[in-house]
Amino acid sequence: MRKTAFLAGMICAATMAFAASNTGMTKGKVQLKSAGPLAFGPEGILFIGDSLGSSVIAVDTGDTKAASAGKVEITGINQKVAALLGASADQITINDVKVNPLSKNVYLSVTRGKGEGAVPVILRADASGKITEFSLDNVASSASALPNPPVAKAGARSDPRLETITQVAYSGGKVIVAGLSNEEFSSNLRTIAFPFEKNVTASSIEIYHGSHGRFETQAPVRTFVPYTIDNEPSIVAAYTCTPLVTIPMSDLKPGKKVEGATIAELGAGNRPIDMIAYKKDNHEFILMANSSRGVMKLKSDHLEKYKNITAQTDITGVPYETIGSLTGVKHLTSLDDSNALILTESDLRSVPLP
Amino acid sequence: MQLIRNILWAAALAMSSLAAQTVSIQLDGTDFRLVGWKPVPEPAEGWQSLFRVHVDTPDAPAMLGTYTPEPGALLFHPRFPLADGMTYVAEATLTDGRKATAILHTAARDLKAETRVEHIYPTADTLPANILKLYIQFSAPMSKGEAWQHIRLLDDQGKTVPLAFLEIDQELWDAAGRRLTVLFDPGRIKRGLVPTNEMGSPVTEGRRYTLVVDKTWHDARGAVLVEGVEKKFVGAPSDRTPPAPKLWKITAPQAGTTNPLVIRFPKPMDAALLERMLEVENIEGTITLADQEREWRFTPVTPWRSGTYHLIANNLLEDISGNHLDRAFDVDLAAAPRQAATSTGNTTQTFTIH
Repeated sequence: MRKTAFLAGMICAATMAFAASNTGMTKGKVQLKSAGPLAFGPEGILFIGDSLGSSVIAVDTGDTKAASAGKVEITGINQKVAALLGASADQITINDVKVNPLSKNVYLSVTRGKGEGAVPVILRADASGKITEFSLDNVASSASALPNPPVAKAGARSDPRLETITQVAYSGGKVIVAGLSNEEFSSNLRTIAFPFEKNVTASSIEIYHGSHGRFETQAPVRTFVPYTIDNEPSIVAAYTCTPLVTIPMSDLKPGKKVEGATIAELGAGNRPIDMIAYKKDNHEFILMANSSRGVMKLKSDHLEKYKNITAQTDITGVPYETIGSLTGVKHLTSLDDSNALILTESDLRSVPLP
Repeated sequence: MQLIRNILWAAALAMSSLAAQTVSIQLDGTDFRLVGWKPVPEPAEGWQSLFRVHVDTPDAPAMLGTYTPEPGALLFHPRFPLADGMTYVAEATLTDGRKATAILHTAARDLKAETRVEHIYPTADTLPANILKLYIQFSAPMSKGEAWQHIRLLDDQGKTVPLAFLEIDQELWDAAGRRLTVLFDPGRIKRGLVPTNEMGSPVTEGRRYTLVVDKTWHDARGAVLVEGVEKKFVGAPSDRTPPAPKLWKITAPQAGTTNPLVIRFPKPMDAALLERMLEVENIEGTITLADQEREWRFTPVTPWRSGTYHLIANNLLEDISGNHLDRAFDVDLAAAPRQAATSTGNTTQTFTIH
């Protein structure tokens, strides 16, 4: 029995090493400077956006045992996380939440502390609601640096420029990263082929918004969701300036200027946070959490049929409704084919997809 | 400070330890030591089923940390440093029924208000209606996650201008946490968008405004600011003209001196980008800004020598309305041809030192 276990252990170690080498990963301690947006890739790979470290880190969670999702309900999650980390709730920030599509375990990106001593932590909640730390002390990982624009060599007193990562997603072998600079108004969307090559730097694409075919401006992407439109891998993205657009993945080429096709104008006060895509009753939908307008449900069948909105009299975009039962949503993510997971100020819970 | 805190903890332990005859809980540096136990193998439910440390809130889970069995003692090392101003409870229930409890109060933080707003850029008191961003510079690192509760734009009636800023949860801080970038809602600045049409620009030409920064904003230590700050300004016409380097007035100092090179701009420029995107080729020196960011002064480390110099401006340098050197913030395609993506090139001018 002991021999079998030992052998199984050896096979497991060999498999992990194989997986790690295949993904260009090396085993060791991951030193995050900050923990921001999360995304899951294939085979339990977790991507962590580290704004302070100007990088995206890929971590092999090894959490690949398939499971079906159960009901998730962790009330007072902010208090529970704070207690776990030995701090008061006002010193805890939950920056993002994502579900491992294989194991259905929930991963949380958390900051303990709010000032100089703030520490990034990745937590994991299992089906029973038990929260533990996902330790980064000895994991297979790789990183991709986000490039900073040129820094003046002479005279600059410091380099306070920072790009804040607002969303990370994985689709079709690429990690897509949306961010906002704290200095120049740029609209770079970055794509990185995964597995990351050694010392790879994310290439950037400038996203423009052609407002009604007349005014053209740079348009930073606030949040987005990978989406297949008419068999073409694409993203549906929300700009910081509110329009909802579609962009084919094939357009996301380094150094290219890309203009999204506007499929909806959501109006003033629309501040999208997260989007998920799903199917229900033979229809496609996008659910979008919005910091001031609640959760919106967009009917997204055949997005290719929506022409780029090019005239103000032409506001006939994708129809949407607001889901009144979902309020105070700070993060929204997919749990399984029938359920979403929402994080409010104090609770984490699963809800049936509307 | 650390020593004083430890003494306080030790005193608290001595006072509140309700240990049975031979079992007790002691503080050892930052570790909790259960002394007088009879070593047993780790229970299936983990060491925390015997000895758990938790914050003093209802239903608090055990704090993260590691356990080390030692001869005659079980050591708990918290995963994170103990936080200030907290109460921690250490409880032991041994297999033989003996119990021990200890309560720790950590010293509260020194919350004397010391942090101030040092600058708000732009410093001008007349700002274009399409002003794109503000920088709020603090004297010390600030707490993250509460910015939008403490910044308001008031109109001349003292009413808050609704949805003036792009309130993103991540907040655009620099790495030191001392400078916050506040973007006005781009959807209300860009022409031809629904938010602009519905609500107009946050700033209107000819009207008076007050930007309010609350005293109740917490710094990284958790202390409020020394005082709140108000910045008053008047709205001016929108500026949609790219800055023209050929209109900059270059005043060259004399050779043999370390007097500053002075560049005068016809309009205020972005304060942060002036530190990073304008330089004298191959010359080290320091940059200072003057006259409401209409003046850039460059003082060399070593005296100027006679000759020709190059002043290099990155084309991403912006004025305070987000117009780049080679491109307006929003381009009216009815009046200008469609451009390629914003150049990452430079605009170089020469000047001579005699």
